[in-house]
Amino acid sequence: MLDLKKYKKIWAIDFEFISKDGNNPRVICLVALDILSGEKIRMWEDELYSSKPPFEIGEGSLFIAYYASAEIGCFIELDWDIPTDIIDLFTEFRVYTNGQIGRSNSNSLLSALKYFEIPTLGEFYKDEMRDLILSGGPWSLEEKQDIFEYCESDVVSLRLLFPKLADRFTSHSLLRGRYMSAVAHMENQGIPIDIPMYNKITDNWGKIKEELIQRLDTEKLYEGTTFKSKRFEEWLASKGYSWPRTDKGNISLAEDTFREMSIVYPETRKIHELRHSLSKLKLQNLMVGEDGRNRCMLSPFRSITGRNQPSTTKFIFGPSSWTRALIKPEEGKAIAYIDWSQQEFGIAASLSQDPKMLKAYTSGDPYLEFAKLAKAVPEDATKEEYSKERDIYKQCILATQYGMGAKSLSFRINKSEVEAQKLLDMHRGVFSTYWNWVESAGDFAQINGYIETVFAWPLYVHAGTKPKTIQNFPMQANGSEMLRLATCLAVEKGVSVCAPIHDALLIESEITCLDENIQLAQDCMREASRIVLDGFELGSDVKIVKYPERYIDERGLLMWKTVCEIVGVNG
Amino acid sequence: MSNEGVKKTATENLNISKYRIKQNYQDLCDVQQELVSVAMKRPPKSQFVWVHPDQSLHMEVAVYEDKINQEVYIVSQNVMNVLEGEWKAKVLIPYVIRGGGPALWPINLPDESGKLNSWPASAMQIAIDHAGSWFRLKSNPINSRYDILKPINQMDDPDWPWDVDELYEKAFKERIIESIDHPIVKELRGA
Repeated sequence: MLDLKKYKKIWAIDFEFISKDGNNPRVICLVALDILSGEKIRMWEDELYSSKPPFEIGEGSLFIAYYASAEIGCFIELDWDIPTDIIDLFTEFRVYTNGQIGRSNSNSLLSALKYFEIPTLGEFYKDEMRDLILSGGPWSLEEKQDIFEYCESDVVSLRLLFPKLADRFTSHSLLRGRYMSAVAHMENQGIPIDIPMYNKITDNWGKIKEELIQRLDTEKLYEGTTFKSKRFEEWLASKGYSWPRTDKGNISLAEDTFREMSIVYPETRKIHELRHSLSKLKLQNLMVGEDGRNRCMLSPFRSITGRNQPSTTKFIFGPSSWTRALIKPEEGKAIAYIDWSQQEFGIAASLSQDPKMLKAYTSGDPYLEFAKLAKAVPEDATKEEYSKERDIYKQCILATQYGMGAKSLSFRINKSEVEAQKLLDMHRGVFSTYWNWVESAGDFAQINGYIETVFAWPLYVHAGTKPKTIQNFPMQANGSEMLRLATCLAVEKGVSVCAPIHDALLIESEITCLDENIQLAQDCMREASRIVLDGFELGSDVKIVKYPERYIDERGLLMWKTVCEIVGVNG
Repeated sequence: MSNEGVKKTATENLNISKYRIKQNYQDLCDVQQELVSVAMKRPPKSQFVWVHPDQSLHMEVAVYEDKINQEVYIVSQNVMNVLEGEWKAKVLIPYVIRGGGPALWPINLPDESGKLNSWPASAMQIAIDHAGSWFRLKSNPINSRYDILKPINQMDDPDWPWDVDELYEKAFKERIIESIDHPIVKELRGA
């Protein structure tokens, strides 16, 4: 438990701000309340922008907020130093309830207050006040007073919520608060977007859609702009491709199905990209600020494993993979996408201490090593000579990470279900220590009613919790811990981190000091893996994009090139 | 470095490693595998098995096979006379199925005249000669015997955490005919 007595001040803080379309916030006012002494601070915009923080931000002070990344975003905007100790009550409420039975998905301050039966202001009043703030002013003296009162009501709510959660606070809470600060820095940094190209595509989207069908629908699966599943089914049959079906026996058109099957039949990737772009893509929803940077809430701790869950339409890594080509560093700058090498496999090997899995990871090519351990290829086999076998064993490893059964794997490897089952059995046989550990983790979760990561991100378990959720939790949630820690370390060491993406960091740098920044970020990622895995280090891979190049996701290359042709730009 | 927005290093003094929670669930979780039952049956022909090479673990018993219900019973000495002609002398040989639990392979022993059918004779030969390695049984009806298939590259030996007494105890549980009051005896005697 965290010793709260060491703090001389516990500041509950709330800013009101206007944050529009990918721009950094315009800070309107601050209310801060020391819940120990009752001391209260109110400051308006003009005062805030011309002063230093009105409180001590060092170790003697604890700062509490709800969704602290937003409050720290205001600190950054005001050019204030960042508090040392932060506890985010949103995150701690997630820790309190993650996985609980019967919980709604809402984790707003209002929901947290309701959960603990704390009286709240009406939703209507909140909406009214939000509209008043977002009007952007100028506000009358009376309106300013109303905004202050509204801001203060949230601070009072924090004071009431604090004791409900406080007996669960630990040093891990501070670590999570620290991450919220790193999130604020990333949200402030944003991702550089090629604005002329972005505008060109959004302005001509109607025409582009029609042209895309004409140019890319070589299989003639569309009637006008409508995808015809019957035609798709016939095309699959003509190719002799087997394809998953829904429970009702129809051809599955689910996103996940296309994603999985495009590995088996690469031709379907184009069909998927086109279909997704035409039906789901809302590029105009992408949050791009006036400075040409994509900024949106990164939504930390939103997923059950604690991962970030940014909006799939507002965040550039959300929509179809071809749109990522809109990411383009500014002149003189570069970006680097750094991801851990086989992070989940490495975590599984290290936490389970499975000797064969550890050997496979440290070999540098776990997939080929698995094939060797299964005696499917000779001891001296190379990736080039045995690429086919390696790929089958790779799919088997990935299948176990996703909790897939023989049926799904059989599609992935284009072999019978019996053969897929044999492969899965082989995985269980070769990595038996790992599987025993996974079983023990499941037993632990069921006996104790929860399972948690190395830094205490929990999952509460009940009869309705899916076994696969528990099985995957240690790898995914500890992976999430690793990314959070690496992000904190990198941001604190001065690396310009634009965003976290699953198991990767996107960083930005002047080209002149790019190598140095990449090295620093990789060191942070290595250190984070060492801390999370008790000494075991995971390596990382880097993809560099220097101005005037753009970020290209190979999966979306054809679509991107076609879009460029349509708008008459050399992509 | 380029990130000028970072004004202060937050909580650098927090010794993170100190707060790491161990993930050694096998130590944290106080459970052990309990052997619930042990089958007495020939190894399945579809799966690889590994016969324990220690012949001191073999046990010779009198076995009654209820062919209708496909159940196997051990006949204790005091009822062997009563059930004369109904039981067969067999040896039970411990083995493990790949990816599964242990089982006992009942193989007929020669009768009093020393005769043994070619099927059990080949089974016995396999169980002795190929113990300690993985193989899969295959019927060879033309020659009335079993053959085996062996993986070209042998897999590792399985874990064998089971106590042999417990193994037999679980296998025989509720499967011993030790008095004339046993339902099987009554049934065979028309009672």
